[in-house]
Amino acid sequence: MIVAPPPGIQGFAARFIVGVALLGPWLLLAVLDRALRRTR
Amino acid sequence: MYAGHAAIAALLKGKRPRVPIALLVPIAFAPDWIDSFSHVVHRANSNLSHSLPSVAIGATLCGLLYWLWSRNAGDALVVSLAYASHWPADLITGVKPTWPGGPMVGFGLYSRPGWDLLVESVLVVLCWLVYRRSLPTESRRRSIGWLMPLGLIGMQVVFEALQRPTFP
Repeated sequence: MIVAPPPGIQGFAARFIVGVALLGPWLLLAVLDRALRRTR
Repeated sequence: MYAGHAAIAALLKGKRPRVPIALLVPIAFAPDWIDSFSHVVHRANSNLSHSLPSVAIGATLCGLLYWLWSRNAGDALVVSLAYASHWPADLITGVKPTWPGGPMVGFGLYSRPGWDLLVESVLVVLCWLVYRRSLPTESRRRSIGWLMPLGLIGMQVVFEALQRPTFP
């Protein structure tokens, strides 16, 4: 897995961490690129 | 590799601004999405997501689908490259499968978190500099532009901390 959750974290919490790890860069770049390409 | 995949997507966006970054980022992470899904359905197998044949098939399929939609071979090639970049990028930081039954290869930089953070941060900054050149001149001066490299490096720090609670 891209992120191995900390020891002791399993199930939904582990999947949540992996989901955030995958979605974080996607959202960051998509939002910033949209904002930066919009000329005032 | 973690933040580096997003950085490579930004670099490709800088080279081919017509291709949406909202598409390039998940494609650059596609083997990790497949790997995560395979864990969810209890069919974990790194050959399915990270071996050379699976990356070659995924890159070809994504490029072909994008070409069918856009009819632009250059843009489709960039989409393929986003997918294909995953394997060589992971080669630096991890140990990845080659083909089913083949050797596992990689420099395993994850075992040296400080060096991993340094390498990925340098990659993020270099890719951001290329990406930045594709922005309108007035946008290049906007302070929110710095959120891209700082945000990715920040995520990398959290990533390192999750992998090793003792980090730094």
